[in-house]
Amino acid sequence: MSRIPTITEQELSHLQPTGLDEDFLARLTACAEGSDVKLSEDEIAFEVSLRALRPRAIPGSLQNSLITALGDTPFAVNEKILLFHKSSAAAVIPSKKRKTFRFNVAAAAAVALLGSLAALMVPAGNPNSQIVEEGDMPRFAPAPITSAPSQIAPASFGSQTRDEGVIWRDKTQPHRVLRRVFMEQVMTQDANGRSVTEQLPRLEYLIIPEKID
Amino acid sequence: MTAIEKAPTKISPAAAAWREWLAEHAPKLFLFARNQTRSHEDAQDVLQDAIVKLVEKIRCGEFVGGQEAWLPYLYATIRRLAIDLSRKDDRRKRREDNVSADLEAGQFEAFHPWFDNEGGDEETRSQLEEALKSLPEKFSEVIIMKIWGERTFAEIGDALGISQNTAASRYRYGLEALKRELGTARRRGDLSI
Repeated sequence: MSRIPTITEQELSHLQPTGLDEDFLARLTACAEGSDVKLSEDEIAFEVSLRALRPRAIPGSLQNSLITALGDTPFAVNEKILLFHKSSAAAVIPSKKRKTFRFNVAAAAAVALLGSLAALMVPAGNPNSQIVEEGDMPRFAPAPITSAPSQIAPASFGSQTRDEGVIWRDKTQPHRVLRRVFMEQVMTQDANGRSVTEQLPRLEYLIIPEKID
Repeated sequence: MTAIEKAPTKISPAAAAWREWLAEHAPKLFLFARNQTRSHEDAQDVLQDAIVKLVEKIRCGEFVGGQEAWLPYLYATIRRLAIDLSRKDDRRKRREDNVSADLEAGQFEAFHPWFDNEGGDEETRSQLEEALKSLPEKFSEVIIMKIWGERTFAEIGDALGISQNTAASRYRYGLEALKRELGTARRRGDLSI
């Protein structure tokens, strides 16, 4: 069992840490004041004289290796402009513009899909019905899919658009949703051959990429 | 006229921009790499590896920040790679215990100065370079980044993993040490600084 010699402990407690030297104290003071990162005039003058010496250029072989390593890496001039490895005047392409084009294609595809879905909601007529269009050129319309066949043919339409607000389909690009209601005017014929004009609503949602800063 | 005149080679805007960027910054980065590795050859490897790492990050879209963030990233990466290389070299040296290789490396360095001597006197360049090499690395690295790399104390602190106050203190001590080293020569009038 070890015993702590109390006499040594007492002696140690009387020892005092050595005081800081003047230089170190001045350094800590300057650090506390925030003045230590400011250079004196002498230091700046010495710095300027040293800067007159220029580092040697890198060896040509290293320069070539680096250029090779850079390959086809675009050079970012700033946040919005990238220089690409194309030797044409149109090489300066804002990256955002490319992105917008991609989203426009996606939006067009979405609109087309919604349009086709909406078309399914329109009641169809006789599969072999004959539609007379401009110039009295007869043609056969394709048979639309419908749950209640009747003799209906589209004649004309109007529309109303309403802004449904912005949605985020992913984390980077907001989309604005527009709700469009088409009032299609259709003309039907009953069993006696009489023509009846009716209005049927058709709904479409447009999803458009929203411009952001 | 028998010689075939070649049309000037067209390079892409990006390649031209990279060349220009390298012409401006690569010498400074190379100086820092040489200070970190104390070897001409190792400095080339380290600088190239650092550039490759930067490029890979840019290509993958993983690099955070614009062009202004490239240099801080490169200084930090060069230092990290140099430390890694130094650890490997230490092991290798302990294994091989090859003193003659170090001597050859020293002689090689003497023929590949760190600085140009355009219009200046050779004595000044030589004395300063020797003084800089003789400084402890923790001082010389800050001096090189501040004076020739044109980094702020905050940026130096970030790259070296120290506070800007410590970077400033090391810089100040380093300058003092350089002055002392150069003092004798300056008093003799050998130096132009």
